[in-house]
Amino acid sequence: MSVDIEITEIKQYLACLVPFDSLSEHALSRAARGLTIRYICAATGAVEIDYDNPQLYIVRTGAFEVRDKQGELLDRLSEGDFFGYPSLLTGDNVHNKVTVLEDGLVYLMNLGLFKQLRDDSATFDRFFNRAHAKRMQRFAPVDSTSNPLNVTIGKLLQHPVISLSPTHHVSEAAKLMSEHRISSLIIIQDSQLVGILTDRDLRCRVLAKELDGKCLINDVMTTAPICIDSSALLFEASMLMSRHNIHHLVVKESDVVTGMLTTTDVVRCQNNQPIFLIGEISRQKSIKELAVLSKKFAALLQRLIEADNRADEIGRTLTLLVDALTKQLLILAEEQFGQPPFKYSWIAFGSQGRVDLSAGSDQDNAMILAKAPSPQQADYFKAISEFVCRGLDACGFVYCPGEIMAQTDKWRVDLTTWQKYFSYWVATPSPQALINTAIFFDMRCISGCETLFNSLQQYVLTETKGNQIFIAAMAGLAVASTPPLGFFGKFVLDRDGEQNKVLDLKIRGTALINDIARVYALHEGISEVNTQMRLQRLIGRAILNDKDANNLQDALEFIAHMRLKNQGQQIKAGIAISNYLKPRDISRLLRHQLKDAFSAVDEAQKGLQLKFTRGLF
Amino acid sequence: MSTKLSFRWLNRWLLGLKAKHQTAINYMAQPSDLSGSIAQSELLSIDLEMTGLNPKKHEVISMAWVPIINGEIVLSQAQTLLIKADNGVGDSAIIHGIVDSDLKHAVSLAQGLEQLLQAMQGRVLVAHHGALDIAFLQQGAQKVYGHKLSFQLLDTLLLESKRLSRQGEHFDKQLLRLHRCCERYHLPALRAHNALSDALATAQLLLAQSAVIGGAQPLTLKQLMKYSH
Repeated sequence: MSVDIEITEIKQYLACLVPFDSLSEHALSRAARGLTIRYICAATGAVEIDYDNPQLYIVRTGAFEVRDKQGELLDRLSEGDFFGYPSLLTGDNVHNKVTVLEDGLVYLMNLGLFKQLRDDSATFDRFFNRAHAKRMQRFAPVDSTSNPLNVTIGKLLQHPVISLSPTHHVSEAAKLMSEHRISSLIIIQDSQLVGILTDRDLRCRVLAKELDGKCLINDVMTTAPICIDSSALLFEASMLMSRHNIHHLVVKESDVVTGMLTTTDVVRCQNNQPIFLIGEISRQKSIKELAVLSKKFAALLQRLIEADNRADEIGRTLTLLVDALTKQLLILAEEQFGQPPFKYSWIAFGSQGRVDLSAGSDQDNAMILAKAPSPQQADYFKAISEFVCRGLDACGFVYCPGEIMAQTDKWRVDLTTWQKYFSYWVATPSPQALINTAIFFDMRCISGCETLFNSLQQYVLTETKGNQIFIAAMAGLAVASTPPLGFFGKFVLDRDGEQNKVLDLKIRGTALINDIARVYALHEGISEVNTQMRLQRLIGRAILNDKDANNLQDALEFIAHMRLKNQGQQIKAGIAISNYLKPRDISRLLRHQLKDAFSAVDEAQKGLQLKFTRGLF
Repeated sequence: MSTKLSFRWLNRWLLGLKAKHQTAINYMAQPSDLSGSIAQSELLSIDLEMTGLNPKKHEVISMAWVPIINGEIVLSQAQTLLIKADNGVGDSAIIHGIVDSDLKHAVSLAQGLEQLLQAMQGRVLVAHHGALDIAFLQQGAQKVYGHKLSFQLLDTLLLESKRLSRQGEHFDKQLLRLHRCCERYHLPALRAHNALSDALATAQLLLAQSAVIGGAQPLTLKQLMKYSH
């Protein structure tokens, strides 16, 4: 009479879920039939776990958080995730606390069934043992699989073997080293390694002894250099160098010399690539070379995103690179067109000003001249500004569509004229005019005379600080666009060029927070331009309570992080980089957190409106 | 309210007196307790598939149920039965996908009711638009036992309808359909018009509804019934 009842939907669901997909058909049916289902709601706060009767919890819908006894976050869970298994595996009472972020259904499996399934499939068993181990190590600082110290040395060699024989003059060695921009040479006689010659040898054994370039390499080289096999790990190389206090290792592959490894190579691998790129930038001698080098930025960005760096750090890194590019372009320009007739300051606006550049940003820059130039001097500044803007464009930071660039005559003027511009903007703050001028209030000196820049910034802050009419207009602008949340907490989606329903994480997200922070900073006369720094400086001031400032900081970091992650995916998929996110592409948990971040922005906008725009709009 | 309840009790007692069949006697002798919350009670979510909507003309061809015990849906006690229809499945096959040849393994209406009443003992019924299911069950009881039975029902459709109208929203009746209600609570989609799937969906819906309606202070079954009327 009693037929085995198949609960089709549940079985199908489990069949697609790792590690249940490894179970036999029979075990899967038994699993589906053995579950109970509970609905857990956020109003109850934490999930009540009965430790006398441990169960595996399978999250079917909703979002949860697991914290340990100390309150440290262990895991965030959404659909298809599990909790409760540490107790099942160890038999101990694991007193993790599971809180409900969003109501949801969970499937529960009792200890007996869990054990049967572990017996049925080794994969199933291994999965939960690994998951347990992984959660325990989650916050261990080093992830061994991605640690660069585990790379083999052979992969790191930058140059083929560059060598001389010991009978050459030291001056020839020095020439060869400068030519290749290297700090050491391999010295070979009759195809045998006899020594190395390093910068240090030239300094200590030639110059310090007052020998001249005519002496022979043989007399000053380091003999019997320390070697390492090309299959050795970077880690071993680094140990060897520090043990012997040396900077160079000869690399051999089955007794044949294949190259030289230097401390520079070691450091380059340890996630310090931005520093090296900046160093490299200052060594490039033309726009063309800089353009080639800047192609590496995308890969660096990708790596930083994948390594889960903070969004503001990634923004800062990219900004530092573009700052370095700008400085180098100015140096090259001055080499080409001669020294400037008087001081100037090269400044950046907008995202570069805010130290918050992202991939695909355009350039927003200008020059402050120490005084009004003669026609001839004007030509000089025009020439160098055009050179730098063209260089930035060639490096991927395209010309500003709004012409806000130093090569535009209007934005390459003396300090007094700049002051007049700002006075005018502050005195006649129509919302329409402010839309175009808001980015000027996020300015930063990139190169040239700091004093010029500081005088302008101080002037601007004096004009804006406590200026109710201007601040009210800025605040009105800052609340004109709203975060993409509807009345019932649902996302309100825009359409991208291809008519996909998307969230614009910049226009409807980070830009709104930038606007809010700008209003407060100008009101308070805070000279910081980076949004996180502005918010940080607002803490402790009466105008904004600390909690709101912190919430905004978190919201900015979260939205900016989502935007970067999304762009990382776009780079990977080889599609155009944009600020558009399809909510369906992210998990419900992330959607939930994104909604939280947007509602923090919404709250902040309401606060701004109440404080500054009352009675005006 | 109290008069209504005591009337129900009286009705149940009177019907119990009529009961001659042992299953019906047992069922009627164990009225369910409404004083606890869902987490403290036993309920049975049911769904019937019929050949049409008129209890006098049409027949039950499938029954399914799944219990909710102390707030947990217990899948191991889920059941689904095919019922032999005297007049064949007819055009209704278009909706539920059950055709006459499937009914070879079917049980008689009497056997089906027997099992259902056993599962229902001491439990409150849960159904989506339960009036229809109950009308068919009463018709069946009349046929098999010669008298009607007494049912205590929590209707998820009525609960949802009240909840939405309390929010002051005007809504289309379409929004009360089972799958639309499940979507509203982000519950997983299930195959529509399969009795077991619908019984399970209804059970999940009730858990979600009571969480939203009660919040941190769960309502008793009695309060939930009152809410839905």
